Amino acid sequence: MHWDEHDERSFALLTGKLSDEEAIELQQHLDACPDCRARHAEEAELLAALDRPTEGLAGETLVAAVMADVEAVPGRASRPQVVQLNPWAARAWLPLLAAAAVALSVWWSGPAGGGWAAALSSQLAVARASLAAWTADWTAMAQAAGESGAAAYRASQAAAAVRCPGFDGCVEVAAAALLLACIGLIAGFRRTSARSH
Amino acid sequence: MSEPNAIDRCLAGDRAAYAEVVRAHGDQLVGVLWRLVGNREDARDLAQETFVRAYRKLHLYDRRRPFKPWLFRIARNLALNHLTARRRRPEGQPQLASEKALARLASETKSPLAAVATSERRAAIDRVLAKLRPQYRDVLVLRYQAHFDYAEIATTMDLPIGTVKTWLNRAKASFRQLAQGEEAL
Repeated sequence: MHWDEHDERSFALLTGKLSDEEAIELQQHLDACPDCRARHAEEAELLAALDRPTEGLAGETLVAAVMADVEAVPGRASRPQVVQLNPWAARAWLPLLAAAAVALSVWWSGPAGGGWAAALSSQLAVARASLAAWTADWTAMAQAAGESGAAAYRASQAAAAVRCPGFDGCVEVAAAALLLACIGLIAGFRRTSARSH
Repeated sequence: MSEPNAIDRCLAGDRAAYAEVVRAHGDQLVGVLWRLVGNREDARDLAQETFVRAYRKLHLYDRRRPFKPWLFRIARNLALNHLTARRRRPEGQPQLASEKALARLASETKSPLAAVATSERRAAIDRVLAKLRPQYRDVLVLRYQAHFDYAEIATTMDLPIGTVKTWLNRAKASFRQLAQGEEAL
């Protein structure tokens, strides 16, 4: 046993912190081991020198003084208003995020095939072309409908009907998964100021 | 006293429950502070300040950890500030075992001769502690006056346990060496 560990146990014996069984075991060891016994005696000597009796040092006068100050403290001691993630959310956010990542992965690699790089570049090209067509359609419709609010509304309705082929299918799944993850996280937060005052 | 229960009641707004916490730790806290600052009156004042500060910060106390090291950490910081301020004052010589404290000790002990012997010994111990490096003095006091184990000292002093062990061994050696020069010991 290392001396630090021995000192800790020896000190625990001197201050009555060991169980009866542990105390008997250590005492038997001390009886048999002169080195440990000498070390134990040193601990006892230091404890006797430095352990000033404390009984009655504070007394009721300290209690009264502290309580008078405590009564003057505005407000009261309160539980922490800490926002914590509850265990369900802590467990749920990772799978939800993983689901979102898988859905994105399927969307990226699926239609174009041939791996991530090809899928990414082809999908980007498709997305760019679709976006350009979609913007052109929307602008044309807005122009045709004029500048009035009602026309703009009709144009937006028409634009909503325009489908963007690059974002079909999987992107909705990915968005839904991400949304679900966000809802899970938000729902998982709770305030721990549990007890009302 | 069920300490967690008393702290729960304090947090629920029952200020009177804090008296139980003060009663449970007051004596030992004054004892430790007396060793750290070398003066009983200052120790009582610092203990009072410690308890009030702890009450104000009770909402910051992590209930998963033991309360005592948290409380003594506040006390030690106040003691360090007190010693620093005292060193800056011109009359700031440490008042180890002041006359007032010695007179009280004598009055509390039945035999005047025994009181003198005891008080001289205590004064000698305080002198030796005052000569130690502050961190060595603190680990010795937390160990032998507060009866803290390594982990509790580490929490109170915000140190790794390995450092506590090293400092404690060095502190013991220094204390023994310095104590040899004191006749009363």
